[in-house]
Amino acid sequence: MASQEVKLLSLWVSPFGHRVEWALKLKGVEYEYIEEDIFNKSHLLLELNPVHKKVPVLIHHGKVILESLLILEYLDEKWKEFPLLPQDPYEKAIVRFWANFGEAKLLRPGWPALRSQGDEKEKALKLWIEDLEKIEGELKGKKFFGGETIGYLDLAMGWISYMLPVWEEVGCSTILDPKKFPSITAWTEKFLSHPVIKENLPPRDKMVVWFEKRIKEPFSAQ
Amino acid sequence: MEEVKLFGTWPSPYSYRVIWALKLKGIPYEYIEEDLSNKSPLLLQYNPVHKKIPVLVHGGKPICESLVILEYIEETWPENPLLPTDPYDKAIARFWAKFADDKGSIMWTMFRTTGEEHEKAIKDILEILRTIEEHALAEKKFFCGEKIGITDFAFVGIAYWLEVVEEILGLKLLEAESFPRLHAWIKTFKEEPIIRENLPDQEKMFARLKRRREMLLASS
Repeated sequence: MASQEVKLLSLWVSPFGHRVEWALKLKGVEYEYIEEDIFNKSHLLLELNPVHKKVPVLIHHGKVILESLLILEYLDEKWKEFPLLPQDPYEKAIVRFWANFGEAKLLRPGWPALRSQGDEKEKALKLWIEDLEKIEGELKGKKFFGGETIGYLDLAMGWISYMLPVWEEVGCSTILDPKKFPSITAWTEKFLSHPVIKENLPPRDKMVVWFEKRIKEPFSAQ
Repeated sequence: MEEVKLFGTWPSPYSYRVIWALKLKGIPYEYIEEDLSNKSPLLLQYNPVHKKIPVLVHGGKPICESLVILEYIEETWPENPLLPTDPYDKAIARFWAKFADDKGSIMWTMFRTTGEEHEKAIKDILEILRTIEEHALAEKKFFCGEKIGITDFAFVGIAYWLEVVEEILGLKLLEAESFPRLHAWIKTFKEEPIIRENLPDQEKMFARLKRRREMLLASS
């Protein structure tokens, strides 16, 4: 029973979870999806991830793999269909570098920056945009981060295409100006048209409601 | 073989982890000491995004971020492996290396601060040590089994440097009775020949860090 070999514990709105789902689907891996309520964490989650208590969690034949980017590497090593990472060690180092950069400088501080107010917001966004410009530079002249087809870095950066616009709307700020970010804009369109990505995105209106609720609460790094 | 250069800084634990990897695999390299208060044009050219060390340059191509460098070294020179071959074991090794990296900075928060922030950092470090003791180190010689590897390198940065910081601050956090596994592991890695021969001198580290702590206290 293939679907019982692989299980994914995640939250419907988590960009960390989405990238794992895309990877599983791109590789044609059957899996069982288990929804987790992060505001009321299950015994299962606390047992599987006692150190961080976070999603996503991949369970393969009972073994637990944590951290979305590490899960992508694990999937690439276990399932050879649709390779995500480049073969060449140097090319691999480049994508890992940019994935880490995207995580630390853009994804994690993104929502906190956009939900903040006044001077604090202006300062945070200024730095954030400078860092986004580095991604724009990295993408120049390429169809995808992975070249002709989507790969590890496209999945790592995927949240920019569908989640950042929601943050912009809820946070009342425009960042992804097509004139300032032509490469990212073009990439967003191509990424979202990919059949696997298109079929596996959370509903936009549901996301807007979620983030509007979060903005009313005091911030906690969930 | 193409030329290998390492841009590093004494006594950065991030520099040292790359040195250990290169030496364990017997890879000849040229070491360039960087003065972080006066960064060289070459460093800025090789790491324009972060402007940090370490940077490995292989055949003129730069690789940045110590864990990314370690993975590159492992893939380019597979002899004397530093990561398990099994994908699941590899994922565990990488998880803990990342944990060490993410949490390591709390030690410097403890070093840099006083008062409430300092007390909180001490509590956080004890929690981190507890997590490592209970979840990361089973009854193994090293983090991933019988051989030293990337995960050990990442944790040495916490353990060895913590010894110096503890002495300067007059604290004893890593006590043998509370952390028997960690204590055993520290003893083991210090006896590992390549590590033993390539650790920054603790007396020199003590002198340099003590001065820094005094300056911090004077200015606060």
